This record gives sequence, C-alpha cells and structure tokens, in this order.
Amino acid sequence: MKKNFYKPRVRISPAAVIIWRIDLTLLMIPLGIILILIGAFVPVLAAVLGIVAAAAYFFGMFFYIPMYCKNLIYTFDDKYITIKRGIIYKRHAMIPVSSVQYCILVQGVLQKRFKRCTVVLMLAGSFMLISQIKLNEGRFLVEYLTSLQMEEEKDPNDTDENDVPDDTLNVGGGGDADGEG
Amino acid sequence: MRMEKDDRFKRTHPYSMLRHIKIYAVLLVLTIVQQIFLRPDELAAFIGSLGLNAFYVLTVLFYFITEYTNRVCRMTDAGFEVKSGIFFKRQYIIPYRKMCSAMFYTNIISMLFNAESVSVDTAGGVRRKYDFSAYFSRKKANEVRNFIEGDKEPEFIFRSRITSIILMSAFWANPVTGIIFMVPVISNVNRILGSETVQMIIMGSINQQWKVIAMWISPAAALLAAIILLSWAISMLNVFLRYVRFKSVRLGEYIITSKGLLTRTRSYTRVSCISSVSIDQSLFMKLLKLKSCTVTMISAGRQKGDRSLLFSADSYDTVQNGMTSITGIPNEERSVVKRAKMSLFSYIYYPLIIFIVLLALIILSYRFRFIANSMRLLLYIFIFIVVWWLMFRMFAYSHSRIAVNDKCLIVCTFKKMTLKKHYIPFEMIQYAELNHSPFQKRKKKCTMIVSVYSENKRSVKIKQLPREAAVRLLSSKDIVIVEK
Repeated sequence: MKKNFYKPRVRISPAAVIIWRIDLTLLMIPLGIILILIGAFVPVLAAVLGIVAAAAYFFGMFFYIPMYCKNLIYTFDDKYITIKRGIIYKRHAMIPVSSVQYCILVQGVLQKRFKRCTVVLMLAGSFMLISQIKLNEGRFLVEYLTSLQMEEEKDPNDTDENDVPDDTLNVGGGGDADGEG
Repeated sequence: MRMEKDDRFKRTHPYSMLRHIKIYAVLLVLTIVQQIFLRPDELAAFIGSLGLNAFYVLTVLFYFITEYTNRVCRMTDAGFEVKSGIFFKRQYIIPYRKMCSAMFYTNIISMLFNAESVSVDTAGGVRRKYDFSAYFSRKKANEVRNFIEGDKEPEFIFRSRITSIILMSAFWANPVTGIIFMVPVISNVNRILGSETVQMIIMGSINQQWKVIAMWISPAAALLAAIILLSWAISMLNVFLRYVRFKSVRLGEYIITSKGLLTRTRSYTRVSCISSVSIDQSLFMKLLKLKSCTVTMISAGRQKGDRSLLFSADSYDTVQNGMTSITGIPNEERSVVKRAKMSLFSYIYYPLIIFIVLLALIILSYRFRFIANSMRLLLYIFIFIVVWWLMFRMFAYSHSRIAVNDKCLIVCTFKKMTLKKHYIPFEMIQYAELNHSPFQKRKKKCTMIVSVYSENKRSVKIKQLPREAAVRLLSSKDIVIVEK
C-alpha cells in the first residue's frame, strides 16, 4: 500500500444537518401543493394528512436528521472503507478498497453553496454513498482510490515498500475555504 | 494502454443531444418560430394558447442543450474521465483496468450525422445501463477503438456463414415484433384507401395465395396464419440485418465481436471478465449438426436484442475448438458425473402431461361434432409442438451431466428449448447449492444450482444428479457447497 490517510476517521460536517434540513423543507412544498389539491375535494383527509406530514417534518428536522448525522461515521484505512450509521438499528458496512470499481463525486446546488459533496462508491453489483463530506475530502478520497487503481494497473505484483512516496493524502484534515476542519 | 491527456474528447458529438429530443418537440418549436415571424403582434396570445406544451418543449430543449454543453469526456492516463450535470454535478473516472467491456454502435441516422455511440461498462453499479455512454464523431470513436486495440495482431478470427445467420434469424424472429411494424402500415392504408378496399385486398390475396394450402382451413384461421407469417418474416429480416456480417476476433486481452448491416455494433469484451461461456444446441440444430456459443458477463446483453453471441451456428468442431481458441477455456471433460439413472420421468413430466391432455381433447373433438375445424387444427399444431418439446426433454436427459477440467466447471443442462453446455471458470463460481426434495433425498439425488459472478444473481441449474458423486466432484475443486 503506497499512501496512508492522515486522519482516517471522518464524521460528516455540521453543514450536512443544514443541507438535509433545507432538502426536507423543500420536499414539503410539493407535498403542500398535493395536500391543497386534496383539500379542495376531501378537506378532512387533507387535514389528517397535513397533521401527519407536519409531525413527520418536525420529527425529521429536530430529531432524525441531527441524530443520523451524529451517528454517521466514515473510516478509511489501507484496506477497508468503513461506514457506521443508524439511530436505533446500527449498520456497519466494511468495503474492501479493492472491490471499488470507480467512484463518482456528486455535488448538488446546496452542497455547492456549502462546499460539500457526496462520493458514490461503485461496487460490483451495488453502490455505497459517502454523503455530505467536505469537498476537499471527497476529492482526496476519489484521487486516492483512483491512484490505487492506477498503481495496480501498472504492476499488480509490485509490493516493494521502497516505492512509497513521502507525501500523505490528507482526507480528514486540512480544512477548506470556509475555515472548517 | 496509455494515452496522453488532451482535450480532443472534451465535447461529445451534438448528436448525443439530438437523440434525446423527440421529433414532435422539434416540430412544435418550428411551429412556434413560424408563428413568431408570421404574426409577431399576436405572440403573447399564441404562446398563451400553446400554454404548457410550449413551456414543456422549451424546457426539454433547454435541458438537453445545457446538459450537452455541461458534459465533458476525456481519455486521460487514469481512465475515462467524465464531468456532467446541470444542477447535480457528477464527476468520475473509470480506470481502464476496471473496464469489462466497450461497445461502439452506429445506425443509419447517426451515420448521417457522422456520430458513433461509445459505451464503456464495469462491474460497478446496480443499474442495467452502461457506466459511460456518449456519442462522438466517427473519427474520435475510431481513435478510442485504436487506443483499446493497441498494436496487437488478431490471434483468432471467426466469420459466420450467411446460411447460419439466416437460420438463426428464422428461429429468433418474434412475430410480435413484426406486428408492431405492420399495425401502423395497415392502419394508415386502411385510413387512406378505406376499410372495404383493404379487406378486399387482404382477403383476395389470401384466397389466391392460400387457396390450395388452406382448403380445409377456415378463413379466420388462414387470415391469422397469414398475419403471423408476415410478421415473422418482417421480424426475421430485422434480426438478419442485426446479425449479418457477424465476426469474432481474439485480440490481446479482448474478444471483439462485430455485427450488423444497417446498424453496426462492435463490442470489446475483456476475457478476464467472462463469467461463463455456453455452447448451445437446440433439437433442430442437433438435426443439422450445428452448435452456437454465447458468453455471460457483467455487461453482456445490455443492448436491445443482444444475445451475447460469440459464435453463430456452425459445425461442432468449429465451435468447440473456436471457443477454446478465443477464450482460452479448455473444452475437455474430466471426472464426468451424469444425471442419475432412472430419472427420465422428472425431465419429461410436464410435456407428457400436456401431451396426454391434448390427445384426449383431439379424441373428444371427433366425438363432439360442434367443435370447429379451426379449433381442431389448433389442437394438432399444439400437439406437434408438445411432441417436439417431449423429444427435446429426452435429448436433454441423455446429455445432462457435470464435469471439470483444469480451469472450469462444465455443466451441461437445458434452458427452455436449448441444451446448454456451460463452461464456468472456477474463480467465477460464487457457490454451488445442492437442494433435494423428499423423493430425491430417498433416492440420493439432488438439484444443483451454481451461482455465477454476474448481475442479477445469474445461476445455472441441473436436475437429478447423484448427490454423493456431485459433492465429491465439487469438493475436489474446492467449490463452496451450500446444502439444503
């Protein structure tokens, strides 16, 4: 293995809570329109659905999203990418780095504003999301995995430790333009 | 396999944008432009009258033009680099090492625009879509092709015979496809000439052409048969044009297959990504002493109508030896385990029951005179099909077996009406599952299902194997066995 991560354990940034809260609020707009349309014909049903939607909205805004973000931890090392998540049921995914086919760096409108991104790890027959990490961390992760694949392509049997360069790939540290990290 | 980073592939061909836009959308926009120039003073009223349709068309146009301008594709040292997206920006690199297959596709319309589709696929993802797909000019697509091929010389070339392609087209043709082509034609002719004229033409042609053959057949059955036959002929022509000029070439680590006349498809398959190779033979092919060969892998069969053909129908020796030459998988069989003796009934169970039922119906049809001749004719057709099915199952019973060699597990079994001999490399076998019913347990038999490394959990199933011999064979090659 040629490079090591400087800071292997990465929590998602606090901006993720804001982004997901805005996403949830935006989701309420079409839902509200649908409820208004239903209300024109069946007001009682619209009122019941509205109350349920409002309860779900407040539950998501003030409990689910903060707790989900708190419990979402990504860990990277030479061999595995580990994702721990879940509030009540904890899920623990360990992905061998060698099984990653390629990775996609996705940036939405809000993520662009907050300098965040999502890295999609394309695995054989499935995919895994590393959501709401800092843009520089995402770029480093993509570069790191791509460089690993390129090294394998050059000489799959080459495991000479003398070839290890001194530079380290800083994923967790460094901070970004908005001064976080 | 290296290529210096450059900007030659920065933009895809504008055809990639055009293919998304439906013809009706273009026509609607033309009408709008026409109206704007003709009556500029009534523009507001006109747009208002078009309402949502115009807004929708303009949005579609805007979206695809913007997507086109935002899409950047490059071949770099690291791999195929793609940046795309309007609101959601996506950026990724597909390393050359992870590439399982590449496909180049062109049809008459894209030829007119000098565009060619380039698609690259890996084992990644869950969608049945290519990981990277874009239209480039034919010159650029050719450069990508040359880059993949390098300067290697072909090691093995197979060219299909035209007769075998005609035969395969005849068997693969689906009359429903032909009906899809026929319905609008009949409908439009009906509208232009009038329904009575069309009926007269159809009935007249049928009466002339089918007079002798359909002497004892009712007009309704004759008309139905004629429509099905015509649909089948159209479909056959469609399949023929898609597979004619079929060629397989082994070039370095890739197998290159090219096919088609009006639509040209050229696909590159990495040999190390092949999950299994199958040599197929139907009963009809057995009578003509022919076999064909298909390949299973992650990205195979993505394109519509693609059967992942490696060899079209040809003589036994050509296909068997050619398969070894092109894939490097040996075709010799060692430690053969045949299906258990006295298990013919489980192979012919369904066709035998249907045969008995149909036979009873035919006898009853002569007893009850009110059953129409056309119905009796249908029963005869069905019984012929079932007899064919019964014969095929007997043929499958006599050939079902498993075996091994140095590189792969060989499973000879049947699927639908084709006998398939699967060559599965050991490293591509996920596990082998051995199931048995209470009857099988008593007679020490089992059903084996071999899961292959592929999309959609593809597997190969063989019935009525002697359990102990099967376990011994699989254990000798360290294949994971799951017993139920």
